[in-house]
Amino acid sequence: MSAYFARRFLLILPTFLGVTMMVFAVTRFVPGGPVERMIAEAQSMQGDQVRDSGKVGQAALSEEQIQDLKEYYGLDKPVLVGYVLWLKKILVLDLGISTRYNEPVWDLIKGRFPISIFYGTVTMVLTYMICIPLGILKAIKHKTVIDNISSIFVFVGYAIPNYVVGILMLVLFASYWEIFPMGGFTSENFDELSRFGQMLDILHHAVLPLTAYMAGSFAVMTFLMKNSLMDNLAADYVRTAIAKGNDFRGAVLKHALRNSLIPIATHFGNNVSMILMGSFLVETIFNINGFGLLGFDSIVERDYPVVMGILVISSLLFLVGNILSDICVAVVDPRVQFK
Amino acid sequence: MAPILEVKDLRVRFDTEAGPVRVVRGVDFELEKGKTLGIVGESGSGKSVTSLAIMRLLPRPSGVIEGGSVSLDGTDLTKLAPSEMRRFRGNRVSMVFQEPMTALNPVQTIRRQLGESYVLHHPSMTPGDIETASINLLEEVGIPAPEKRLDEYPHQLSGGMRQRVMIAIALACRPDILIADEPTTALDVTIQAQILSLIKRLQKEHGMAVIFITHDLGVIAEVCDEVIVMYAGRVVERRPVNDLFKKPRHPYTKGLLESIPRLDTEPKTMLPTIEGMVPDFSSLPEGCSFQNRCPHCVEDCKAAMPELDRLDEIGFSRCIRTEELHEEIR
Repeated sequence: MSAYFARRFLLILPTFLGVTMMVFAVTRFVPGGPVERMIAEAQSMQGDQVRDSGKVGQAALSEEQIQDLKEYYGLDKPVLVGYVLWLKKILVLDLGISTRYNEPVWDLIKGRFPISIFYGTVTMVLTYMICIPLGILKAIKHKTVIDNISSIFVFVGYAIPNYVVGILMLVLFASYWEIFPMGGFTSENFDELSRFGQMLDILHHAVLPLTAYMAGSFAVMTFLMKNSLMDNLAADYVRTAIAKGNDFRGAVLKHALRNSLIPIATHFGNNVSMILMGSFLVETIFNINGFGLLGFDSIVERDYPVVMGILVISSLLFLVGNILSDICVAVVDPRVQFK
Repeated sequence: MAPILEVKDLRVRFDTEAGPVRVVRGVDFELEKGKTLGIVGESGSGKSVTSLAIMRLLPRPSGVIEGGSVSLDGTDLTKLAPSEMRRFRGNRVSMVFQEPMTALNPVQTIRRQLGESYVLHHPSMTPGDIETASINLLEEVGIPAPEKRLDEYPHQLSGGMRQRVMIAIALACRPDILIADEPTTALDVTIQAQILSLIKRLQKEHGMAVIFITHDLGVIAEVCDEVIVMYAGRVVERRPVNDLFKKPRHPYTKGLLESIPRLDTEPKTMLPTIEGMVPDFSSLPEGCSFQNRCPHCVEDCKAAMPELDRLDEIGFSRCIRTEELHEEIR
């Protein structure tokens, strides 16, 4: 088993290499790079001047200037050379300089990590903590009042996009009733608060965004759990458990439950990587400077070093997440033998 | 000797969306200690439901015991509270199921699944006691290297081995009655024979009574003392095994016996079969349930359900023409 996982980890390398090629190729061949942006910016500035002075200008930037810019971004070299140079830098975590912020990309990403990790882990833990028990309850109480009412809530949450939930809650709880802050990660006087006060402050800010994050992810997990448990409750081995003298509760908790966690376990790794990436819409609404917002902004601004950096890190997370899923499945299901 | 198990007029109903379906319509039998009763019949005859009703394992909430009694050593199991019934299940009445592939929990070791019977019914046993008892039990059911097997999972065992484990689990608390619901149907023929002789041997050693449910008359001939033949939720014939095979009295039993392939019939000729299908429970005909498939059916058969008539001291048949046909059949 450990040999298998060692191999899986080694396989990350070629896969990752493939990902970097794709990422690099996309930034090279999709029109609208940083140079074009500079030209456009210069043009609009010049345009203003031209209107002022009444003269009609030639090209916004001279050939020479454009060449300088290309050199600066490494766009003057052949694709392969450019790729190798870029790859070399990535290996030492030098993701380049953001064209928008003029800051190292790694520093930008690093700065967003604590916020994203906080929201990601809390969302994930809460989702599992609520969805698994709720799914179990719904399976056991199938077609009863509790099951039906909770289904309504779960489905409504699933049907409304999470950013709409976010806006709705902002309007109600932050603007109308003023129970929670409008947004942000911490208050302005955060540094003056005691340790405990700081914790409360973060939580206070987190309630609304967390609810928005979770509203949508509820349905899938809850119903996965419910259906999986119901399948297992109808299985022969549960009848065997009852025939041995177990009560229904014992048959569920001791026998059916672990079997029905297997499909949940396969989802685990993907959730890790996806939740860490956050949702830029929720982050925009609540003004949270997380990973999702950074990624979105950089795409809009064609800030390629940041786009590439985020793609590289998220694909790495995804690869690790896949292996995590496999490990989880191997832990719950002894029939899984990785060789 | 007083029977250890006495089933009287057992009736089971399933509440389906199309309305109630009466799948067991009054089953009676007694079972003595150390004896084996075979219940034979086609799919849908009510044989499995009868056994599940005895264990009170009918699917909830649709399966209901409508009436009758199941007394084990004087206790009517149908009247017990669920918590009291749990003390009987796996302890005094045990069951082995048809599918050894799915009847064991795939994610638990044999040790846990076997030990659970002791944990449930003998809470005073220490883990050490349980381990010793489990190893002995596995040895008893013929599993080689039992110490090693304890920590294996069901998927690491063959079908035959799994069924042995199932039998071991069923026997853990030395039950008075073992109900075996088609325990060999899913197994290879050679393994079938091994499992049958295992059950016979264990029965002799423990003196327990066995109810053997099967549609395989060969198995019945092999292991049973007495046989009841079920059709459409009722017992149609009840005889000692030798009498039944020598001289079946009910036309249905005769049909069943004739449809067994034999070595002395001409090869590649048509096998005799019982024409038609088991009738739908919701549309059983007036009178004898077997009338539409019976070669000896007369007008009177359609008038009323025949009684289960006593043939001799130990034999019963549910057919109005039993005596008449006695000479005719065979």
